[in-house]
Amino acid sequence: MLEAVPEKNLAVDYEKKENCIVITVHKKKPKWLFFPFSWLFRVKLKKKVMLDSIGTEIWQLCDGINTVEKIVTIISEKYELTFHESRVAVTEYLKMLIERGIVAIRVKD
Amino acid sequence: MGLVIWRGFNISVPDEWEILQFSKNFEIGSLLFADRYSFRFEFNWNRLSGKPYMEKIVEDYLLDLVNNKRIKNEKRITLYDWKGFEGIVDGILTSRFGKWFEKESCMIEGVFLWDLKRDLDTEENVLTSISTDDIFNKRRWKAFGIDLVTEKDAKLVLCDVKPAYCKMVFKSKKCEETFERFGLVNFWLKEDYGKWSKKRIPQGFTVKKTSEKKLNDHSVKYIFAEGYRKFRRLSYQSQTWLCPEDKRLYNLIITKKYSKSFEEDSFYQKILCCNKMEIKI
Repeated sequence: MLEAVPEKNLAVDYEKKENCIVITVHKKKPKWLFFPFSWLFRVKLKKKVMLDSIGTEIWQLCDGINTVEKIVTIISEKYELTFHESRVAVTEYLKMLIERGIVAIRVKD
Repeated sequence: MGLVIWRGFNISVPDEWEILQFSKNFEIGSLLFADRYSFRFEFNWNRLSGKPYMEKIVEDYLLDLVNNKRIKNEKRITLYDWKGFEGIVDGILTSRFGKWFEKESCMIEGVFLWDLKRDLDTEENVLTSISTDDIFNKRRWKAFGIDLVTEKDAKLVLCDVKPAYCKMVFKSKKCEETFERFGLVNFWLKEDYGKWSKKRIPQGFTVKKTSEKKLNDHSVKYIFAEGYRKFRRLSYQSQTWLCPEDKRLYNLIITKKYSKSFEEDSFYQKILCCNKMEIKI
């Protein structure tokens, strides 16, 4: 897991607000969503996620080059956390970003 | 090397080793240390009524591993008073040592897990550092960034560790003590920590007195309250400060049987946050 490389989903839109960021994730249109169902059911095809300042930093570090270990180390040094404290926080956060389609993870062969 | 004090035992481990698993049980339990990549050291205790025959225990355990074909290249080793063996157990190079500690009536076992070969210096430094803590009628605990002193008979009933947060609750005959350490304070604390501390007073308690004291550059805020819990009249004391050295917020809450003589002088300094702070017992 520490060797994996997280990468931003390039299909998302983002907007900077002070020291945080708002990410808009575009969802795929469901196959069943055609007329007349598209008239009957309102399906949100966009989802907004607001990242706090530390979340924004983690997201910015997901550049396709930094490994999870490197991100954990950077965060632990910056916020004076131990490695495992930072590992738990960063991996939990990355898990949430992956589940919401904001970040993808590339695992080394 | 960093010092960890748990259940009355001092253990010095390399700085990159952290506690990843722990037991609160006083009688039998373990502490597991890991570096970035893997578990490295297991510290096991087992309280016994009498001194065991260590050599026989080590011998029996080794024999059991051999009989079950779980060990390869086994070799008996002794380091000072520590008796043990090394070998490849379940595919991992392991060195295992045991020793009896009379003062705590505990059999201690130290298990090292190695990648390719044993690091003899680390092994020696860790094992020789294991000793019993010696404070009269008190017990010191040092782990997860908290360095504290509690009553000798106090039992660790809760230990909650999260990123940038640690809470340890001890219960003794006299009182219940809650020690907390908060990190990333700038991100979540938007008010004065005295006010924050006041908001945390449990329902049914009323504040009787608040005060502030400077202790070696640390501005410590005290709250004295009283109230009822389960039909018992209780005193509540809280001590909160922001350490200027490590920028963490420390909070100590003591709940005990109601007493009138409830002054801050009797509320001793029980957490050590940095070199400037002193523990008074």
